[in-house]
Amino acid sequence: MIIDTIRAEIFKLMHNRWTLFWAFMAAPAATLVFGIVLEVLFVSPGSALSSVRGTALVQYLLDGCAIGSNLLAQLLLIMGAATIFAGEYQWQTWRAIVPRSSRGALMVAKFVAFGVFAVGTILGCTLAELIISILSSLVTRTPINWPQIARAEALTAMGVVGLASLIEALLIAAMVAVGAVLMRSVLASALTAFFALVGLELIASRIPPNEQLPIDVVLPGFAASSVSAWADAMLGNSGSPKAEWGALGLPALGVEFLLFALVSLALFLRQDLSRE
Amino acid sequence: MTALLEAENISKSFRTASGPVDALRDFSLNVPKGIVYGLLGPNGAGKSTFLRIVLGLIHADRGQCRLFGESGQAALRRVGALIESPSLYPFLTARQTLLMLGRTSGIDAGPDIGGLLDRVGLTAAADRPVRGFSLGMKQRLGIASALLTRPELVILDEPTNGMDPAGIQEIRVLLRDLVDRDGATVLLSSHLLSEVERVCDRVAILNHGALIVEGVVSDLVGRESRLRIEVAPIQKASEILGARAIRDGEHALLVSATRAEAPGLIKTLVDGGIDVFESRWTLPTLESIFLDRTGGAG
Repeated sequence: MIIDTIRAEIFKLMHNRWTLFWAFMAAPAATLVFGIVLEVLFVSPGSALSSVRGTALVQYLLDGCAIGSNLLAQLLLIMGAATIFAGEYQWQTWRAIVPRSSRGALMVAKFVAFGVFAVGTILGCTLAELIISILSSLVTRTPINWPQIARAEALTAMGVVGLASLIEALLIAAMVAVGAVLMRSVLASALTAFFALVGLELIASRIPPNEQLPIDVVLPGFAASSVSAWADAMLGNSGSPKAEWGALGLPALGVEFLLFALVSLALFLRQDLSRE
Repeated sequence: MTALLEAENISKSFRTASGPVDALRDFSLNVPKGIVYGLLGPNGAGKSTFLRIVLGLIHADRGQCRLFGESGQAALRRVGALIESPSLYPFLTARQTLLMLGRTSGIDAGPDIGGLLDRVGLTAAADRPVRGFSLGMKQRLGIASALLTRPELVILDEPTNGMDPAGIQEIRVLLRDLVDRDGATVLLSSHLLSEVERVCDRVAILNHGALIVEGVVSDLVGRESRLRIEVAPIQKASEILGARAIRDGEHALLVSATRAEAPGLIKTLVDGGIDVFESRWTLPTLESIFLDRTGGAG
C-alpha cells in the first residue's frame, strides 16, 4: 500500500514541472553553467590554478556530491520541500488524499519522493562537476588522472559524501515539513527552514574550535562539512580539524533527520484538517 | 436495515478567538445501506465537521464513528468523498488527477478513467490542466474522483455548487443511478432543499451541532401538514401563536397543528382582535420543515 502512495507522490511531482525544475534541476544546471564560465574565463593554460585543478578530478566530484557547501542548492531544495509538504495546504488537497491512505504513509511517501529527487540533484551536481573537470583538462591541457577515480578510497569517499548530502537534504525537508504542518503555508515553511539553516550556520561559524568536545557536530552544516573533510583526508589530502569528527557527522545528521521527521509526523497525525 | 455508517454521541469543539465553539454536540446518526441520505442544516450547523470526522480529517473530542461496522483506515477504502469545494492539483490534467488519486488509493484506475470522465461529462476536457477548469467542471472532476474506487458509500458535500441547472439535473440522475444501478449508498449534504427532497430517501437536519429532525422524506412531508392562515396584523398574530407559527410571506402564518386544534386556534386569533381572511391546510415542503426547525437560518 505504501508503495502505491509513494508512486502517487512521485507521479505528482513528475508532473509539477516548475517545482521539478527549480527545486531539483536548477542547482545542477547552475553548477554546470557557472563552472563552464569559470573554467573558460578564468583558468588559463599553464596557470598555477590549472595545474592543481586539472588533475584533481576526485576533488571536483567530491565538491559535486557535497551539496551542503552549495547554499543555492540548499535554498532550492527548501523551496521544493515546501511545495511538497505545504502545497497540500495551499491547494487544499489533504482532504482528497488523507481518506485514501494513512497519514503516516502519506508523510513517508513525501519524504521518499523528496529523497528520490534529491538523489537526482546530487548526481546532477556530480555530473556537472565531471563535465567541468573534463572541460578544464581541455582548456588547461592537463591530463585527467582517471585511475584515481577507480580507487576504492575514492569511491568510498564519494559514497560517504553523497550519503551525507542526501541525509542533509532530507534533514532540510524534515525541517520544512515541521514548518509546513505548523504554519500550513509554502512561503512560511520555506522561510522558517531557510532562516533556521542560516542561523545554524552562523552559530557554527561563531563556535570556537574545540577538539575535546565537538558539540558543533550537532549543527547540520558543520556535520556535513566534517564528513566532507573526513572524506578528503581519506584520499590523503591534508585534512582540516573538522575531519576528525567526520565519523560523527553522518550519524548526527541521521539522528537529526529522524528527530525532525518524527516531530512532523507526530504533529500531522494529531492535526485537525478542518481547514487547509 | 443495515447501517453503513454509525455515529454515536460525537462531540467536537473548536477553539476560536472568542472562545470554544461547539461544532457537534452528542451527535448520533445511522445511515442505512442502499439509499440517498440527505444531511441538511444552515451554515455552521456542523455538517462539514461531521463529514470530516467520518473521513478521518478531524478527530472527534468524544464519541465514535463506524463505517461498515469497523473503524479505521481500512473501512475508508470503501468510501468515496467530495468535501466542500473540490480540492485538485492545478498542474495535473483531469486524467492525471484520477490516475494519481487511484494510485494513492492503491488501485490502478487507468482502465476506468475514460468511463468515469464520460459519466460526469468531462471527456472533452480529460487532458486539459485543472487550472483552466470552471467551478462546475472542478465539481464534476471531484465527483469522478469520489467514484474512482467504486465505493460502497459515496459522501458528497455540496456537489452541485457552481453548476448550471442542466448540470444539477445530471448530478441528480447520477446520484439516483449510483444507488439504483450500482447498489451504492449516498450521503449527500446540500443547501438545495428542493433537490434534496427530489433525490433523497431519508434526511437528517442539524442545527447548532445537534440533530433536530431525522426520518424518511415522504413521512416528514406527509406528517407535518400545516394550517396556512392569512391574518392582520401579522406581528400580533405571531405573538399570540408563539413558536408553533412561522411567517409565510407578508400576510400569512404557517401553524403546526392537528385538525382538531384548528377551530380553537382561529377562535383564539379572532378573540385576540386579529382579522382572519383565509385558512387552509398545506402540505409542507422539505424547505418549510427546514426553515421551521432551524428558525429560518440559512
